Amino acid sequence: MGIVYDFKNCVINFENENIPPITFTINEGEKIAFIVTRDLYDKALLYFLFFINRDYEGEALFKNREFKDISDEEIPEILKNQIHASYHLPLINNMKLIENIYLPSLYHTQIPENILFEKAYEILKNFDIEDSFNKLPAFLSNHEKKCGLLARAFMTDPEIVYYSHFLDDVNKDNRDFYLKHIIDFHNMKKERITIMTFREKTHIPENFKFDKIISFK
Amino acid sequence: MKKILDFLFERILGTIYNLVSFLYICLESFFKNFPKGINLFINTCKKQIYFTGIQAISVTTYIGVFMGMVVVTQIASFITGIGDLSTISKVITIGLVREIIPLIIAIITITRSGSAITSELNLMKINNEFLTFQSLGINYIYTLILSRIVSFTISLVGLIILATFMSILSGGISLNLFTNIASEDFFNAFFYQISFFDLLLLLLKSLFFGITIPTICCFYGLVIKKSVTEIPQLNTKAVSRCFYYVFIINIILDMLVVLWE
Repeated sequence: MGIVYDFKNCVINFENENIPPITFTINEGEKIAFIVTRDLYDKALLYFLFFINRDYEGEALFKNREFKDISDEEIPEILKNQIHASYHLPLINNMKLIENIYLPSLYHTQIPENILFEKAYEILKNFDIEDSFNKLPAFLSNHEKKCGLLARAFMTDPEIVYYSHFLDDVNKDNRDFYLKHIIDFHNMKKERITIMTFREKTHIPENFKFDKIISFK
Repeated sequence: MKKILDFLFERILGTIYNLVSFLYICLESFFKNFPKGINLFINTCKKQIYFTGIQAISVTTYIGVFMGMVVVTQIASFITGIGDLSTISKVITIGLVREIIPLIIAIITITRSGSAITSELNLMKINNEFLTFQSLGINYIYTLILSRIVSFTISLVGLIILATFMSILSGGISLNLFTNIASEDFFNAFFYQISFFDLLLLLLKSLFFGITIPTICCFYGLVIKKSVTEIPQLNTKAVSRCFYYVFIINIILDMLVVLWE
């Protein structure tokens, strides 16, 4: 399996804060847990991996290319194959739940909207929230929003998925529910990378074996 | 003198430069990205046309009908005895078709849709929704901003044409009801008097208002920094700038068409 991310003493410059240097490699198909004791580190990592902020020192390679060498024109093609489920980058408030789910596919593909609608509706049925398909995010519960973020990830079928504090601060039933879907989704594609961030090591689920656990110290 | 020159260059020309550059960036993003994202572009256009155009049909119709009734009958009662029906038609064409209807409808859409666009974009920026678009690889300048400008222009042209039609129709009918001028005579005189320049001016005003208003509103929608307290301030700025530039465009186009005539 090829190396996708290769970071060596990389210091992400973000909001004038002192973010500790990180060193790690991520290969295709791996499941990675990041222990981020501060939300700031999670946000900095998320913004960095999704090319919102590329201010850094040290070495940070994506598929053997430095992040700063990747041109703006190439970024949309890269982002087509990765998705996040994070409250830092929320659902779009003036779009219905179902529109949020097929939004990336509507932009990146030429598939007609009615077909995307049907596919997104089927995905919502897996989460038992199909009745909320027409609601705006402001009228959704936290569980429905989380399911919406998962559904958007599943609809896009990317190679890299970033789950930001997804299993922190949820009750056991919901935790098991989300984890089941995340595990099934990871196993659908051999080369899929699953990145999850946790506030504490104790939040890492026992029934999900991570290939690497990386801490921001 | 220095203060006047500073005002001219910094305030007016500076603002015009910013707005024209902003419009250029929007158009450039379209040509760079087309046809990628065209489905999302069309989706946003449809929603904006529904909000700005379709939902405003009733208020535009009422405005057109009332303006027609009031203006046409008032002009007719004033001019009768001084001039004939052709004079009445000419005054109505210049007053209503060239000036009043485009301005009134532009003002209504500024307060109704323009301010809504600014507020919506302000909130999207504060809630990091533009960063969400960016993180999904979606060019929001082309799919969200330019689509609003295009659809607003289409809607405004349609609304102005509708209002003009309704005002002439109601004017002709009210003349028949309140004066001794037959509707048929009025309509015949009106269509005889209306010229290419009248229609050209109507269309040019619709287009220029339609491009200017959403460009200004989108610009002020995106300049918000971080605080929700900026929203009403930027809204007020956007609406006042829209009024300001709509009146300036109105004067410039009138002068150009009059010179050409």
